[in-house]
Amino acid sequence: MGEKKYVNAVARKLKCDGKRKREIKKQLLADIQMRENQGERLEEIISRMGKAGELADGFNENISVEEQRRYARNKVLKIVIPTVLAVIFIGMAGFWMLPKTVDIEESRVFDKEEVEAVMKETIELLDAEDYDALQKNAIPTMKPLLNAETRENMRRTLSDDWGERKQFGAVYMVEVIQGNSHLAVGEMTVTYENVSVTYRLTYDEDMRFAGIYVR
Amino acid sequence: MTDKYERQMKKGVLDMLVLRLLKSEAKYGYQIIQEMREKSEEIFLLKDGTLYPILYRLEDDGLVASKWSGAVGKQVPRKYYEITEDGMQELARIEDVWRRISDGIGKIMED
Repeated sequence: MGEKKYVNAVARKLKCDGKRKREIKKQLLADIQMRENQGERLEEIISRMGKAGELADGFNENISVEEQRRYARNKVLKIVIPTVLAVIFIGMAGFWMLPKTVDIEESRVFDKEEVEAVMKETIELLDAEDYDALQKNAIPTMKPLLNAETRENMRRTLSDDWGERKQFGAVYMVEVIQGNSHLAVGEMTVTYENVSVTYRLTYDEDMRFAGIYVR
Repeated sequence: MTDKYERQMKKGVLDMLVLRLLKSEAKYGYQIIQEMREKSEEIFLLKDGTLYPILYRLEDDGLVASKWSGAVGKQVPRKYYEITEDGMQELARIEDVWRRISDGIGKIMED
């Protein structure tokens, strides 16, 4: 065992603060070097000083109770403070990641009138089966779904024949915030000749079409 | 049993002996250990783990002051301890206590 390894092993077992540990390490190293300069071999010196644990015990027995208490308190704080901070951080991150809804009128990203207008336009394009126009203003993952087959399947879940669109009804909109992502989600009831359909349409921050659900 | 009493008795006088050794001049830790061994004719064989906490405590109490020497040539840096004015006064007080106790013990032991 080298002198530094020995001294570090002693320091690890000391029950005192870091400043005192550094001081003890420095003094032990100086002492060992002095003894080596006087012709003692390292093995003899270590043998005389005792095993690392024994030497540390010697220090610990003689370190004042007050200093040992301070060390124990600091040791607890070193564990408790990072743990508490980690819990707070995880809590904040969890809260940040949870989806939160905000009234669209209080949104700093979306304009209520614009969202409503875009919703109506989307419904009109769906009814007109203008998939090119729909895809042009949709997010990439939505584009492959905007086709005649998907539209028919969606329509059939409610009725085989919706008939002509008669009128747009009430609309309800919120902003959904999740992390850094902001979405506008609106529900609009539309009356057709044979069925009343509630659309739930979703748009991203750039008002790109991002989701649809009908009931 | 002898070890236990020997340890207790020695422990009670270590502060006084360390201060006494520092009375004449500043000394470093290993020097104190060596002088303690030589002057006591190997009765006091102090280990680093015993001496340094005593020195730290005496320093915290303002009875000794310390200073690291710079490394000169092959000589490694040393931490020198010197007795302070407060330390001198405390030493005088402890020596007085020691003399009274020693006298009292002597009287009992002579019977």
